[in-house]
Amino acid sequence: MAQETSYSKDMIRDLIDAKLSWEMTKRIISGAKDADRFSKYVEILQEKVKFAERILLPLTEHLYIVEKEDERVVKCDCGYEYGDYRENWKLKALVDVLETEEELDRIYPGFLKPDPDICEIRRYYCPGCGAQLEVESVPRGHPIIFDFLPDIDAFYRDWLGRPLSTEKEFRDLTYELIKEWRGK
Amino acid sequence: MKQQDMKRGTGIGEGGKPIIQMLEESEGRYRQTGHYWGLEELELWTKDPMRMELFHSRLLAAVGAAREVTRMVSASAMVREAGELCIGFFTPEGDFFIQSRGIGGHASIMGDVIKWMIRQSYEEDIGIRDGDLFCCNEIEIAGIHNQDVYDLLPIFWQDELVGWAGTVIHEMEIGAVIPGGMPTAQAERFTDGIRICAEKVGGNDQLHKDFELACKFKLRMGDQFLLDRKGAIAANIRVREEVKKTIEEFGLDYFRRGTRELIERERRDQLARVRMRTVPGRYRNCLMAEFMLSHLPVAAIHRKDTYTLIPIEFVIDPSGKYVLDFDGAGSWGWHPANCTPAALRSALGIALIDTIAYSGKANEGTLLATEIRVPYDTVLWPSSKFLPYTSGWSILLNGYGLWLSLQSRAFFSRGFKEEVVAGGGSGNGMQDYAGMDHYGREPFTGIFALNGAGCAGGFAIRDGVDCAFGLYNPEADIGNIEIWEMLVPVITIGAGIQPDTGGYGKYRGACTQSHTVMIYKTPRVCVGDMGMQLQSKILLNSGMYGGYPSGTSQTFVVSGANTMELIKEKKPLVHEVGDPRAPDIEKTIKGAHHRYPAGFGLTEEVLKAGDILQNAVSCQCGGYGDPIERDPRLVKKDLDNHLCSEEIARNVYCVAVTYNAEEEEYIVDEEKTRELREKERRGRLAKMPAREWWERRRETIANRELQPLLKAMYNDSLAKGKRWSKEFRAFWDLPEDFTF
Repeated sequence: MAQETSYSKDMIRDLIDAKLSWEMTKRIISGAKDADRFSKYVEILQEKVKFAERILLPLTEHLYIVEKEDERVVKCDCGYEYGDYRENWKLKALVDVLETEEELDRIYPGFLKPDPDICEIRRYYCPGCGAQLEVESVPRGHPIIFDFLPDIDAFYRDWLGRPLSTEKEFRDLTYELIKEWRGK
Repeated sequence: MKQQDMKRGTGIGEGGKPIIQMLEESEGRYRQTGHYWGLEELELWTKDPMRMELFHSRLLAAVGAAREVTRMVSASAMVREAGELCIGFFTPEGDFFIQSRGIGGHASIMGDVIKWMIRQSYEEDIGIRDGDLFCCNEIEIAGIHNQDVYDLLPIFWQDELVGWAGTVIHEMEIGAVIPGGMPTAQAERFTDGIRICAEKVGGNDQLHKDFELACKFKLRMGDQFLLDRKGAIAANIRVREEVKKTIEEFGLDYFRRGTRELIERERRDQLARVRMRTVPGRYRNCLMAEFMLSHLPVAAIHRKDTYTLIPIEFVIDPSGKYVLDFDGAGSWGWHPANCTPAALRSALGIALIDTIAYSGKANEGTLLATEIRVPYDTVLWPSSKFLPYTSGWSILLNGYGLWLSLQSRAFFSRGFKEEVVAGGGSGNGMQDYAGMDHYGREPFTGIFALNGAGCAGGFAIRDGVDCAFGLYNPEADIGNIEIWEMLVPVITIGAGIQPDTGGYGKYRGACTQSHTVMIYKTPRVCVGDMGMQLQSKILLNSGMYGGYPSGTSQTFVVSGANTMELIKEKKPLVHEVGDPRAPDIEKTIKGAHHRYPAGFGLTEEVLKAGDILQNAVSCQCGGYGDPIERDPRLVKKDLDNHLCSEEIARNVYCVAVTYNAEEEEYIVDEEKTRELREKERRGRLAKMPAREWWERRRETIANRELQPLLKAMYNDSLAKGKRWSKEFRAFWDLPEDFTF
């Protein structure tokens, strides 16, 4: 019986921090995947962040879904909280839209730039630390994209075999937030 | 063979069954049990896995060797230099079992052609016999674009059909409206060149003479096309002989059962890989495709510009199945870049093989672990049978380029950061020339491929690799430039990596290649742009976690260029793009200057010897992470290597540098860099809350303040979509019957 692949926590820390040698990184890319990666990954990230809440799922380079009492909220590594993970966090971020020739030309000089009548480049920032969390390039008028809505309960229950204490309905709550904004 | 005979058990399938019966049996058992061929137990695998591995490796080696055979025999530079081919082996019912490297996106489609022939009673009406040769590039049967020609060979063991060998070759000339290799100036199938409808084109391993003669009449470069067919036949025969040897070694029963078990095993493995490496949930992105035909020489009824929205929803369900849903996709149109469900499925295959199913055992089982929901009567599944498809790769490359970043989000959340890559785009640039070639032949047409321009997005732990990625073909290599110059009347006078062309980010997307050619020894050519890039007005949404998408492409043309004078006077020619605001070509070369955006279709000018064409490609690959978190040392390295401009270093990366002319290197001012980055951060914190922006933008949407083509695009998707349309209106809090 072949032994399952596993890497030390230090090696994974170096890998995700891009500090591992290319030789070893390449070996990991080419090799069988390590089944215990997620638990080690979360442990490492938990040690890095300054907040105490339990990380349920890393969402982006800066954002995490964390357990906060009975709720699951999106939280930046700076500590800023965005609310329920089933709402698109971008609606609680700061946004800067590149929509004029001049604004676009600063980032995409000359012919590299898109047509400002057609294309809208939205930059989303964390209100807590100013990190640029996402850049979205969409046709004008397109709704803000909800990049990823994880099915956390299916993940913990069915894939990791350790269900979370309280389950949440797997549902996009963004439209309810919008209704709330509109006083409906 | 008559139907009555077949009922008596004289079909060509297992035990004398007709092949249609085997196909129906296979599909029925899968529907009933959820297992390929109903195989719940993998007996051979369980009993002796090493023997199974050996069995698999025999066939893998067969298709790999066959691929090399073709490369030596075929005429096309696309095959020999750019590796635009792929060899597969298929079950008797047309399920793909194994494939070589190369343009693997065709593996399952070649199987679809086999299934189509079976369903059309080829066994009974046309006959399927040992040594028969079938050829197909008809998209209405199955395909992506008709330049990719499939040659299929049935393989018999004694009197039983035991499988098929299939070879795809990308042809450089397909007899279409000029330029005829990969044209974009077309709106109906009747301008698409030849479309061979799964025809029997040979017997006894030889092409029929009438087929050869017809090809010579129908194509500008018929001899080259036929040499490619012969290369494909040689490959297929090689596979056939290796299959026979494998049956001799393992026995027919083992061969039949073994192929089925390996497909079922791969289906289970794919689900297991997904459950081990990703996170279930819903992932989204959107693609806006531009179809710009208003300036092209097509019939006036088709001469218009259209934008089409293709929302992408990717669901990883709790079983591990990948589900792609394109609800909200806009209408099909009279242009050459529509798509089909078979193409979407097959191209997903290559995306999976490159990113998650790379064990060497990818087959039909990989795709059985996926589902694609495609709305009918849309750009992804047209209801018309009369469309051209020469740019059929466009939506696939851009769509799956974006999909890469969706799967990457799943890898990231699960902890496999080493597998994370931001989105990528169309992958390269290609020009298609038509007119008289440098040997005086007319009509002539041929493609000049820039596979080496292909790029990937930034990875989560490193930059994208410059000029080294094509989603459609893992060999992102142009090959020998001299070979291309033998086929196309151009001389390369400049090729180099273009700075600032990778999406900016903590880890930037790969920078791509610009290519400059001088038209050579011809009095007249026109040039087409392959049109795989559907974004000139918009940037592909390929950035990830704060990384930017990369900019647009541009093609520069100078007709009546003073190149010969410059050469005579020994003055410099143009070799690079230079400043995107004031390109070198416009400063160096005199003549009539023209600029064309990405996917422009066709030059309006007739070019002749000495004229210049420069292709500044963007692969639209995204950056990864916040650019102000990029290590300033990496910015310095890019500056030193001319991959980043000082302007972008300052404006995007907020890195302050000075240039040491003596040492020819940039020096980072760390203190000033800290200040620049802090200032940038403060500036960001003063930006508008999204809610406030939403309220302002909602007013403009509710008042229908949009560019007319965008209004038409949204109206189209609102009419076609179901879930998407509801969500669009709900997001902007618009009435249920709102349209633009």
